[in-house]
Amino acid sequence: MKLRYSLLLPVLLSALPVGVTTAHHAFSPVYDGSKTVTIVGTLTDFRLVNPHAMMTVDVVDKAGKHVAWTVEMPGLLSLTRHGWTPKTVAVGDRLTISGNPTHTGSARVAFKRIVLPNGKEMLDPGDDTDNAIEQQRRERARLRQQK
Amino acid sequence: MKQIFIAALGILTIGCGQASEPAARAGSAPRPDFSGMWSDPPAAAVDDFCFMTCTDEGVARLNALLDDPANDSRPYQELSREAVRYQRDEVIRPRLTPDTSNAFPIDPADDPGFLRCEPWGFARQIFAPHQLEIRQGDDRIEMRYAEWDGRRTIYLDDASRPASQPATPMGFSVGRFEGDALVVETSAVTANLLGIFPAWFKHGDQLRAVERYTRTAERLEMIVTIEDPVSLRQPLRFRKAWAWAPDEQIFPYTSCEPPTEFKKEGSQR
Repeated sequence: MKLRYSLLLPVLLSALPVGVTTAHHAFSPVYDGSKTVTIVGTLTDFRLVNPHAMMTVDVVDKAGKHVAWTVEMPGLLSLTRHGWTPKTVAVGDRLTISGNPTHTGSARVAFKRIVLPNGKEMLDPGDDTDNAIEQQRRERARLRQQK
Repeated sequence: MKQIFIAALGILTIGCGQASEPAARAGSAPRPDFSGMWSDPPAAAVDDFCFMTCTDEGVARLNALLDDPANDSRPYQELSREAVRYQRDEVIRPRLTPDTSNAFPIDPADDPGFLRCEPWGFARQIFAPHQLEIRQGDDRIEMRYAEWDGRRTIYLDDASRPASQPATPMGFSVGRFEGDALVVETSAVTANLLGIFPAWFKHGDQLRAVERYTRTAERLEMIVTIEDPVSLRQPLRFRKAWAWAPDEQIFPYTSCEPPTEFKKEGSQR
């Protein structure tokens, strides 16, 4: 299965332009950045490609029905910079994934956080960038206060 | 695609080798060398704000917000969004022609790259994040962008320049060196989108741009001034930076498909 959307999910997650915190031209038409959903399921496909990596996860809903969820992720470059490899996850892994849902409520989510079978948590690369900048801000404020 | 590019670079390299370098450079200062792989700068507030591009006025606004003790408890992203709004409404919008201003900014759902996987044109591609690979020869420079695997040629001398150039999405670029800077003038760009969401708009086919690149050992900077009688009342100036990234590579960009579901976002305006 090929990716459904073009452009820059990494950008929307790091540049965070005006409006909804996750609003971006490739993101906001599809996903609702003000909401978060969590799915738990079994990985059936993972492709570490551009413009976006993509997972397919088999989720059993409340009625016992199997639903194939699509998880749209940042692109290959952004993920590999943050430690992702094609072997980070494997088909058959039980995963917990959080992200922004679509406006329509379809079985699709924009990646924000994943918990791997070994318990390791991996965040969206944009969140890591935010954390680094906030640390710099605190240092900048500290230096200013010392003047 | 990748093989084609490698082959093209090979031809370029051969061409460079055949040039009469001593004659071409006789009596002139050595050219600065921009060759190599460049990519996103390390995480920092201003570079994050300028991740794709920014204006001097926007950066000044961001720095003022960051330096204001009253904002110490506000998260960076909130301040960044405030500076983005300022840049959009107080810097860019006043420079737009009335028709362009009325439609500003373009709804993200109207982006042809989103709707049809249409690669970016010149006035967005030069702001693309991630890698920029530069191959510099005596008579031309090849730039390859990771986003959309966009490519362009910058002709450095009259002899190698095509006699005429039809308008294309990436335009026709001619470069020269001014001291340590590479100056690139681009025209013949087909009408397309200019800028980056949320401050982007449609430009006409008379767009002209002057890019000025400078570098240090670890950093490449671009300042671009854009004129377009269709969309702009005054020139707009943007900047962008890359970091030296010799270990990075450009990956294939081959897995785009148009969306199956989306909605317009009029509330962004």
